[in-house]
Formats: sequence, C-alpha cells, structure tokens
Amino acid sequence: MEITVDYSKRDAALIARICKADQKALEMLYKHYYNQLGRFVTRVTIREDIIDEVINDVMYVVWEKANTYDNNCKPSTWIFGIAYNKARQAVRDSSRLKEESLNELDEDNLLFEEFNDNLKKLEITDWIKPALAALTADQRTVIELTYFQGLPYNEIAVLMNCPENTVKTRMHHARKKLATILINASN
Amino acid sequence: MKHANTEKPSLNSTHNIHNEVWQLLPWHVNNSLNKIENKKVKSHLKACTICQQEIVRIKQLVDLVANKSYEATSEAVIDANFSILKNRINSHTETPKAHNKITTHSQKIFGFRLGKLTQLSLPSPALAMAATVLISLLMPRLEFNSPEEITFAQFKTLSNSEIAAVKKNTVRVIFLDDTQKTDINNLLAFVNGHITSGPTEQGEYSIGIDAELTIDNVQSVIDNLKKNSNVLFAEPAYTTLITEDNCEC
Repeated sequence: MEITVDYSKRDAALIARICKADQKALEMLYKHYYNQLGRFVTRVTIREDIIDEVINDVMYVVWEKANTYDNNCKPSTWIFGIAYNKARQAVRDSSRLKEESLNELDEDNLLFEEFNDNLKKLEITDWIKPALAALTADQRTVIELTYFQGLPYNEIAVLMNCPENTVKTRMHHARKKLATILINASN
Repeated sequence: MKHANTEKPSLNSTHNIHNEVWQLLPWHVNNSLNKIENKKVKSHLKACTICQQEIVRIKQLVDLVANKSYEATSEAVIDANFSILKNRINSHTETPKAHNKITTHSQKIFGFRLGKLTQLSLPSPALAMAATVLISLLMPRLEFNSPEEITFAQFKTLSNSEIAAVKKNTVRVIFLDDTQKTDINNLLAFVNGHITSGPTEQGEYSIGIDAELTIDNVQSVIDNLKKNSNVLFAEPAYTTLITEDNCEC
C-alpha cells in the first residue's frame, strides 16, 4: 500500500491561481498529478498508448473549468473525477474500435486464430493484465482508487458520481472475479 | 464461519455483521474507514478467520499489482506533454470561460459567434473584414433599379380630385389613354351626355347628363359607362346624390 499524503491545500491554492489564468500554476499541478493520472488511466483503460492524450484532456478541463471547483471535495477527488469520465470515454471509444477490428477479423479466420494465440501467450506470461481486463472499467476504477490511491469509499462515490453502496457492490464483484482468476492462475 | 468469542449473538445478526465487515475490508486495508467502522471491523476480525484470510488475500493482490505498477514518466516527457497542452490552450485566442467571469453586454450577445470565429485565430481586423465579406455574400442581392418614373398624368384615380364646379346630373369619367374621340362621342350619345369639362391633367372628364336624373337612373348611367371597355373609372360627381332640390334639411 502506497503512503498517500494529503496535498489538498496546495492543490486548492493552485486551482485558485488557475482561475486567474496562471499557466505556471497549471504546470505545477500538471507535474504533481501526471504520474498518478497516468497510472489511473492505464489501469482503467488498460491502454498505455493513450495516456498522454487522456491526461492532457483532463488537465485541459481543469484549466477550462477551474472556477467550477467549489471546495466541496478534495481537489484530487475533483481531478480524478474528471479523469474517470475521460477514461470511460476512452474505454467506450476503444471498445468501438475493437468491435470494428473484430468484425474485420471475422472475415479472415486465419488472422483471428493468430490473434487468439497471441492473447493466450499474453495470459501465460502476464496474467494480471488480463485479470484486470476481465473487470469492467467501473470495477477497475474502484480497485485503483481504493488500493492504489487510498481513497475512502465515500470519496470514490463522489468521484464516480454514484451511491456509496454502488461503490461497495462494484468492489464486491471485482474481488470475486479477481479471486477466481487468482486461484486459476496459481493452479 | 468461526467465531472465537464466547458471546452468542443471533445467527442472522452475526451474518449481517460479517457481510458488512467483509464489504468494508478493502477500505480497512487502505486505512480510510472512519473510527466507528474501523472499530467494528477490528472487533469482527478478532473472531472471523474468513475475514482474516480475506485481508491476507487483498494484501497479496495489492502487492502483485503493485509489482506491475505504472512506470513513472521522465521529467522530460512530462515537460514535452505539457508543452502540447500549453499550445492547445494558447491556440484559443479567447480567454477560457473560467477566467472570463466579467463579460460585457456585447460579448454576451455575440459570445457564441465570436467564440467560434476566434478559434480560427484571426486577428480582429481580419475578423471584421471576413464578417463583412460573409454578410455581403449571404445577403440576398436586392435590385435597387429606379422604377420608371410615373408621371402625375399617368396616375389614374378619382379620389381627391378637385371638382371646381359641381353641377347637377354630372358624372366623372376617366377613359383609357388610347380611347378615340369618336368612341367617347358614341358613348356620350348612348348615355345622353356631353362633356362639361376636361380632360384634366389626370384625364378626368366631367360629363353632364341631359336628362333629369334620379338616384336610381344615375346609377344605371354609371353602370352603362362602366360596361364600356374604354371606361376606366366612372363615379357620380356628387358625393351623395342628394341635391338641393330633394334635400329635406
């Protein structure tokens, strides 16, 4: 478990400066959050090729909407809330692309078999990635925010804009799925 | 479920507490539960081996995933990516909404259009010129050719015409411009009339009817005149057909 330090005051001050079009403050906030957002986006989307694009989308929204931050939640919750929405959008886009590419593969059985073989090789060498991939984006988000960002469930509920019980339910299903995969992998 | 404590709470209540605690375990592991919840979990963990094992599993999973953790991006890459974001921000000539709380009335009116147009990064004189060209292209081409001048003589009407001398049994008539004199004379003979004055500048004739006319037969004379294709207008010379003779006032 990573040690999380509360930088709320620092981040709130930076957001206040961003409200006054202070690009230096944006740069500081960008650098503070880059790796956290990068890891979060990677975990939720299971894609590394779009990290930079999604992070810049998130921070662009921070720049544009800084005046809408009302201090009702931690700045990190607000920023991760934006990141959650952007990551979900990316997941939707990528599923659409995957669907399209699978349709193309359906037309060529040889290519589809090759794709399956590669997937099997990947599962053998790196099971944790497919394990996380087996979860929904929402379940991965709860896992990431709980285990790796150290957020309480009520804050995750605010961030994901859903009831607290929904967060607990998503975590419950994610744990069950991961436990099953973990058992199968160890066998 | 194995409970080590000597107290024997009801099965349902124990089951409910176990389920509740089991759901809270991830947040117990990340130390984010409030004091009451934390106390409840700790108390339950003393007795429940299932939950104790689950905590071990959660920690194993966290460690496993942490080993595959995201590799921190180098400072240089972060700087390069921020430059991209900065360019994106600066490419919008309009100040972002967040930093533009005070807007003038005109900005509010044209806010949408200006917002869209300024995304083209046009300097303001170029913007004004572009707008002018756009308006001139979009405006329907109106023809402002001056119509052929209509002379006073060509404007035919009996209204407001000046009647210098109003006489009994007189009607006012305007013939078409190309009406021949002989046609007029034939028509006058038909209604037992003669020209008393005219034509005026507007082509109006005052025609005296030779017979003594009553209200009814004045109307029949006018009807006969109007049936003729050469007659443009035909009206009684009197606004009312009440003459001095039959006026009761």
